[in-house]
Amino acid sequence: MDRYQFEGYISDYIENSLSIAKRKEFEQFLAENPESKVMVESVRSTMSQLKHLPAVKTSDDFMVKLQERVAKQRDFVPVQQDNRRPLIFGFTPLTAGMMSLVVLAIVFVGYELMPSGSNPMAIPPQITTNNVMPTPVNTTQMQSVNTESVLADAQEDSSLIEEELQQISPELESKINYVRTQ
Amino acid sequence: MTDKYKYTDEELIARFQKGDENAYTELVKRYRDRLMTFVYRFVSDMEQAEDIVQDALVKVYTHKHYYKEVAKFSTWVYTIAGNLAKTELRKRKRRQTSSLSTLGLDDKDYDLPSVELETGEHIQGEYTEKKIQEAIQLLPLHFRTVIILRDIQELSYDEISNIVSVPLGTVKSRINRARLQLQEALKEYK
Repeated sequence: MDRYQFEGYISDYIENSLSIAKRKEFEQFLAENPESKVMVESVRSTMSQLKHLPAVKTSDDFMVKLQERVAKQRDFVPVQQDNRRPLIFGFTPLTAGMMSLVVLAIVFVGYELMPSGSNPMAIPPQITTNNVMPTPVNTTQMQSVNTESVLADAQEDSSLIEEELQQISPELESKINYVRTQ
Repeated sequence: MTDKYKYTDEELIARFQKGDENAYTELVKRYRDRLMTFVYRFVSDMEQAEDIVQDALVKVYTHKHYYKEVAKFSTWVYTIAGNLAKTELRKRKRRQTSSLSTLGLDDKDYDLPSVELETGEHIQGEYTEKKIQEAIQLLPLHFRTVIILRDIQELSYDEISNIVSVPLGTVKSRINRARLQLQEALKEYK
């Protein structure tokens, strides 16, 4: 038995709750370490002093004060019981209300995000090959911007017509010559 | 109640739960001084100790239906008083009043309960009690609780274990260490 174990067993020794084997071991330690006996007696004396401390009593008006407090509590208790709210599926009304709102919000958003043909906002706009020119949002603003491009396109269109005419004219010319010769 | 001394504490609380207020009065009479001793030794202030005991007994009144027959009534009431006492000490610490443990042993003033002794013994007894009370205040709260319950209130280890909600082995260990610390603190006064 070492010093640490000895100190751990002091109370059990004094209170006679050590096993026979442990008690022998403890007493052997006491015999080998005389100063440890002083510690055991010191602890025993402390325990005795604690046991013989005088009892502490309440004041003479303790019961009067207590009865006044109890009388106040007696009036207070029923009001507290009436304020209890019933639970909704185990939740308080506030929590249940908030959860309902969350569920409704999820349903609403999900409905809005569902693809629908009649809802142009739901389907993102598709860009087709025929849609070359962007649709002007504001005609007044776009007018000046588009003037040059319109003229350029017109010029392009007229050159295309000339090319076509040039392609057509040799055939026409040959036909005219044919008629002439006849 | 024809003869209230026939009833055990558990029978009294059961009668009180059914509405017999005389049973509550009898329980108060049985426990007021025991709780006062326990709480005073814990907080070392008479006025505060009495307030805490009153709070504990009011709680017994308002929460009577919380008591279940599984445990002893004394376990329940000591648990309430002990928790209130610890809460009060924590509040005191937060208010940053001088902790007794930070002062020198000779710097403390105590309200000592009156002790009926012979004159010479009276002085000696008062001195000894003062020193013991000072030494108890030096103990950490978890040591202080168990040693008061064991060596002053003389409760069993099992009951103390139920009151502080700690295993039996831990209770024994704490009590042993508390005794060693106390005897060390009291050495110089012997």
